[in-house]
Amino acid sequence: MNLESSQHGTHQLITVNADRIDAAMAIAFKDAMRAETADSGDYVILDLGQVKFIDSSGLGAIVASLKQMGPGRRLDLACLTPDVAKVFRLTRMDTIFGIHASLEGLAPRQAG
Amino acid sequence: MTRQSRHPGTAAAPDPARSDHRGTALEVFTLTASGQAIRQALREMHAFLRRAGLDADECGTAEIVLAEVMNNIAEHAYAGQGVGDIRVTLTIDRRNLTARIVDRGAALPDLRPPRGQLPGMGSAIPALPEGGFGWFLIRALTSDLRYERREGENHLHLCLNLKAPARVCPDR
Repeated sequence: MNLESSQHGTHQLITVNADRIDAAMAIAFKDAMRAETADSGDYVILDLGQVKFIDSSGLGAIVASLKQMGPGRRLDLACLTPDVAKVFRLTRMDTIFGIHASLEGLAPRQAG
Repeated sequence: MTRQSRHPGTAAAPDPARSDHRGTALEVFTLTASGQAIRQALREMHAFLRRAGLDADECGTAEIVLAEVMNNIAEHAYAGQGVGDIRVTLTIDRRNLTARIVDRGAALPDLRPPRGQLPGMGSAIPALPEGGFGWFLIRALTSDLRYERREGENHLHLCLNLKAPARVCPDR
């Protein structure tokens, strides 16, 4: 499971470098998210811009990623593609996660 | 993964002369009930639906439904063993995508598809559901769902309504 992580001011950005989060990789995704968020700050944004497809197992793995972060921490989602947005909307999980249409305005500009 | 097209023309590259309408097409996909085989089958089904004239939204919806059905067969009918066959027949006509999915695994409980209610979501994050969305998604996205247990096989029949095909060249 290829995740890429970087710190941007107040938030940690985790980019999913895969075109799907499905039943075949849901456990690997959840484990990779646990590793990436183990020592991070309280605010994590998951960039799903490359993910074109998600099934209910993938959805469950993202929910599990939020739950395993523990209390007082926040996981937002960014750049949902149409079929991924459809799954979040139908299951009403779009009411649980903060969702950003793009990464614009999220990262403070680096001085110098 | 094997594929069989009863209408060989539908499996070829789109014919520009026919792009003003969506014809009928039928294709049979046979695969092993493992995560990797299901992923590969979904890619091929998606490509078939696209060639047959479904738009991106319809292809996406179909892929979600077919993924949930096949994942359920792999995980429950065949108990996650990664063996056992699934046969999917996709038929497209002007109004509908019809899918018939057959497996030889365990029957559905009570011999009917689950009601597929959305799992309850309180406001507390630790209590959020991580599963139970599969049948909800299938039911939410299909217009007809029928199940039969017959001679040791599960037969699931489902239907997705399609938008009216775009007519680029009005034929009047």
